Amino acid sequence: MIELKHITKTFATHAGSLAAVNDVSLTIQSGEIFGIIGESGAGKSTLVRCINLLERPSSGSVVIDGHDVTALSGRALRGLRSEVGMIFQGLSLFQQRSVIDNVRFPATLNIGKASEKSAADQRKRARDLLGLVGLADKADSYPNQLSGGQQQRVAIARALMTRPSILLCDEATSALDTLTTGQVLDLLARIKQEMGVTIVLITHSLFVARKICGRIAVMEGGRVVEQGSVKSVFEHPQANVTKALLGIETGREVA
Amino acid sequence: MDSAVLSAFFAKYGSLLLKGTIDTIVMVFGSTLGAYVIGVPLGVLLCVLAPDGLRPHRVASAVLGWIVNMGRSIPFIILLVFLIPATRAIVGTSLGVPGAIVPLIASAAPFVARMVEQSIAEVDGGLIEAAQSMGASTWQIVTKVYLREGLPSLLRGLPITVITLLGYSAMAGTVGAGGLGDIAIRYGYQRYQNDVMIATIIILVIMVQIIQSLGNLLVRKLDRRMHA
Repeated sequence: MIELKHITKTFATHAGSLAAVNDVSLTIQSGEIFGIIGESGAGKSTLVRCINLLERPSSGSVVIDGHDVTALSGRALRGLRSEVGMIFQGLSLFQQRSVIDNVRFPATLNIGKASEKSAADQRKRARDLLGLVGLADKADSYPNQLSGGQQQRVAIARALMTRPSILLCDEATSALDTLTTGQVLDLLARIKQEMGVTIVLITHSLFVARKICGRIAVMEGGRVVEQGSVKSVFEHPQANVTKALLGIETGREVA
Repeated sequence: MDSAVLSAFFAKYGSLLLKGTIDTIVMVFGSTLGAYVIGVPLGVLLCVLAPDGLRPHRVASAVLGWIVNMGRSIPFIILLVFLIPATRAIVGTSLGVPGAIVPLIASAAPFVARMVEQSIAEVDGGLIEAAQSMGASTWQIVTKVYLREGLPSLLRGLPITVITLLGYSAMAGTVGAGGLGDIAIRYGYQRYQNDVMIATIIILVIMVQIIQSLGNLLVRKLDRRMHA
């Protein structure tokens, strides 16, 4: 379970300080796929980066499975990160490493408790994961030989290398076409099913949220303006931004 | 020029030119090695300590930048003379090949540092964030991401450094460093023996071509992105 308690993150800008995330509290249950939706600049990415402390909250706390991780640093922080996998919007594979070496990379950092130690064991697990994402035959290829969707699947395999209990997906399908997006989402759903991984997924796409998420939170201007099951939020949107995302006339712009 | 003239020329100057070539090669590769031993850690530090680096440190970054800039702003020929006492202290002489290597390293190390900094800066920030999200330490990011992903760019800088040092080594010849520059100055300039000077120029041109070709070959062999 991930509990975000009163998370605020401010950045110093030329125009003064800006609260990218403003007093957000959320509880994400173990084993669910939780979506965070909103328009660009709503603070989704900053909020999710607070979970693995790529961004350190200015105030508030991050509690994972009952442990307050907000103040972790050094080796303990790196240990936490090995238990929280992350995939990104941009293609983030190491271009100078083969696919299999990309997948086993997290295990080579010597921090994950559950990680294989020997190179042979790491390769074996990496091959298994490549099988899971349907790319067993690409183990010895290099990233630039793969399509965008294939690269994202390799990134998913890599994120799973250290057996994380949580997988953060930051607009992981936004750069992909519809068909490929569908394949990646099916893969994520299968991973949740087979491994019981909790998935936190950021998206601005309602299609993505509807297809895969159990519950969602809608963000606007650094705040969560609405949350609930996908069904209830989509059928009975309350906030104007949700209605706007759904393409419903909000009455905000009176002709 | 017929072959009799050529063979007479080589009989007279062949061993001199060969020794000069070997001296130049030793100077250039010795100083390249030294310049990278000092320049790579410096360049990495410049990146790590920069305001947007892995371990930002404003003061250390500014001081380091200053030192590197100072090293780069002194023209080589002046550095050569300025460093004579230091050179004597380090290698025992300011003459010959050993005497040239110290100032060559001193001038090339800051140059290498800036090139390394540039190569690392070209590494996609998304890769660094990805490595951080996996729990990589600063040291692991430096060795496994910065230097590994920046390798093709670092390698493209290598022939630039070697060729720059080749040029500098010829300048070092003017203060008795030996090598092809020394021969060109002594025979070509001081004794008006144009044939010897032209021979050194031809050798230098060939060396530059070989160095660049080897550098390109190395990048082709080692850059994984091109193996499509």
